[in-house]
Amino acid sequence: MLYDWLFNLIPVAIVIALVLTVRRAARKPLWAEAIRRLKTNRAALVALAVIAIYGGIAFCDSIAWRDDHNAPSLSLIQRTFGGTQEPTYSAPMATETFGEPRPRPLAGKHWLGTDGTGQDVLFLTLRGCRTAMIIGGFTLLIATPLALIFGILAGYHGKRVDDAIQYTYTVLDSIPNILLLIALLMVLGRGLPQLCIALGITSWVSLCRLARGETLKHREREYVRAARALGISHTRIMARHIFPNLLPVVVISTTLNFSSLVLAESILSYLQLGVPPGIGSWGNMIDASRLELARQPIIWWNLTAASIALFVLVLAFNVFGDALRDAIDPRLRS
Amino acid sequence: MPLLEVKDLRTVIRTRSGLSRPVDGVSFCVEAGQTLALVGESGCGKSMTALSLLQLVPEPAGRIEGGHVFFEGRDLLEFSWEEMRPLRGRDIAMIFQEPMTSLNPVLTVGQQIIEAMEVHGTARGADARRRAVESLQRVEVRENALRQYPHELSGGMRQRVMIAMALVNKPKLLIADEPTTALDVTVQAQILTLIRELQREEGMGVLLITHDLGTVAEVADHVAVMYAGQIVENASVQELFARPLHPYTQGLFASIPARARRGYDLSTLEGRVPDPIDWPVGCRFEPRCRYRWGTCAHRAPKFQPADAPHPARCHLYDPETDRPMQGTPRTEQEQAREIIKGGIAS
Repeated sequence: MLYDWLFNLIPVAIVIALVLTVRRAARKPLWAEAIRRLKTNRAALVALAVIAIYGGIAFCDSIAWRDDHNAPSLSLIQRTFGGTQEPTYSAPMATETFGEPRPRPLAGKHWLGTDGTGQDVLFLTLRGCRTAMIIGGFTLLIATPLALIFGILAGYHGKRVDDAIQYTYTVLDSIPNILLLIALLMVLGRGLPQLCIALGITSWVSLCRLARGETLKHREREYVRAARALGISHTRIMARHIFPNLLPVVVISTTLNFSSLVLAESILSYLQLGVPPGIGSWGNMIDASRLELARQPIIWWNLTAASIALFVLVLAFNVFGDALRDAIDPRLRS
Repeated sequence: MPLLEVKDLRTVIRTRSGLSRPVDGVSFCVEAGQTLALVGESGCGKSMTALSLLQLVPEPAGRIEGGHVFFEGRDLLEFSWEEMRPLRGRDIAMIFQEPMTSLNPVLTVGQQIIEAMEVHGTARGADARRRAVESLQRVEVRENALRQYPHELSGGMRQRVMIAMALVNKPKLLIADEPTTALDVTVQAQILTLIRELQREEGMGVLLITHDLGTVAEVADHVAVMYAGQIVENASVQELFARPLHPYTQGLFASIPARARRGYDLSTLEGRVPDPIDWPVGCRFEPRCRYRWGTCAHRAPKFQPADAPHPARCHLYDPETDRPMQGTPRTEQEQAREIIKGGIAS
């Protein structure tokens, strides 16, 4: 019971942290201005709403508890949309099973039909949200600090440090990402955390480059020289003076990266390298449905549902990321 | 013992087209409680001199090649970066030219002033806050500026904040690199008065870098005129304004608009400062000098020739040269004197 309770605290804490960060940032001049501009951008608000809905679903799917000691722990989504188990495929809104010589009546109603094992497709699609958010969020949590630390160090110190870091990420970047991912997953094994680590290792390079470039620019700024003249140490200048100035770039880049990570998860799951089959994910759904496309008549609903869910989330993140970039840096607008 | 004594300071910068020597054998002294003005036109190495004192020459291209910077008797050039750090901002503070960009745009004024104290451990917490408010009051900035971001303040306010930040640790030496250049005239006067008042209260030495002789007349005790990486003339402010010896200094005075010369064309110094990559071998002012003769082009003048009442790097005052005349012609000196009588137009 205590374990359930603690587990539910994690998603709540994440949401609270997000809200607090945004509210705190809204007081800073740059972000206040950006938020003001975002509010006038309708597409961005729609995209943000879509992201919030996905986030909400992921949040509900993370709140879980068990009814008695031996029962499995079930999330809010599982309790609401779990539905009834059917013997096999059924079309959306159908009343009987699909593709069998002698159709059987269904036990419940399924808005988006059921898949081969008789699970509700809407339910599976909703469960994919949490996986997508975890993949995006945790990977960025690994990749962003890595990229920032190395990027700022390289840009600030220059010379040998810069050379070493540049060589490292250039070498890493010269290996095709998908090959590196496959190799890493072979070593690490299959699983959600392993996937996050592998994606983290392959996705920090672009942000690192960006952070290095920005640091190079800020290092020569007057205020950095003024900070040095005040006797502030290198570490403190990097952490307190340069880092906050990189935040706009970091936020834009992570927002845009998020969607590519979600996409990468689906591609890997399709190659059977992604999340384990037990955990619902859109990649797994697409993978499971690929053989069904060859059937006659076609079973299209599970593929469509997963693809649309994926497409809408990726699109929303891209639209929001672009809008954020416009809002933060008006010079990029043209 | 002077507070700051610079001896033969030489700073070089590696550039694509060769080794540049913006500071090439500079020597001067700053006494506690006094102001030395370092005067010269753009590109003559004033700012680089100031940065060299704190070892803040832009790396990796720039390097201090030689000389001594004695601060309270200790040679700062022998200090490592980490040994220099406690001195910077605590014993020696610096104000930069650009108040618009010298404050970090993403930190509040309060955070930046308090940080200046915290890194040196002079004050922290509520005490640091109180002192930050005090220092802002001293520069006549209202207290609620503490919570404001630099972009919410005007240029004059930001320069005041910079001064407050520089003075919050009560430094013994203040290096002010063109503190008023970016400000309009009314604010300039306020800032200068402020620096002078604070100097009187705290008894600190000030090294004021400027190209504006009006500013010099107002606040300086001593003046060092810098040209092409060297000090060409060094005198007390009264003496320099009464008897500018070096043709360059005279040229500077002559190019100030003065009431006494109303109706006449303003004289200008033709040409520009030579390239620091290859300074002229002889006198560095020779290409622009009205009095030049053969010797000037191939022989470097002494810093203090025998006939000069105060140091002036010019062959005109050196009896050992084949000078065609002794000292500069009267007209030029008369002109300079008129300006002083007429008051500096500032």
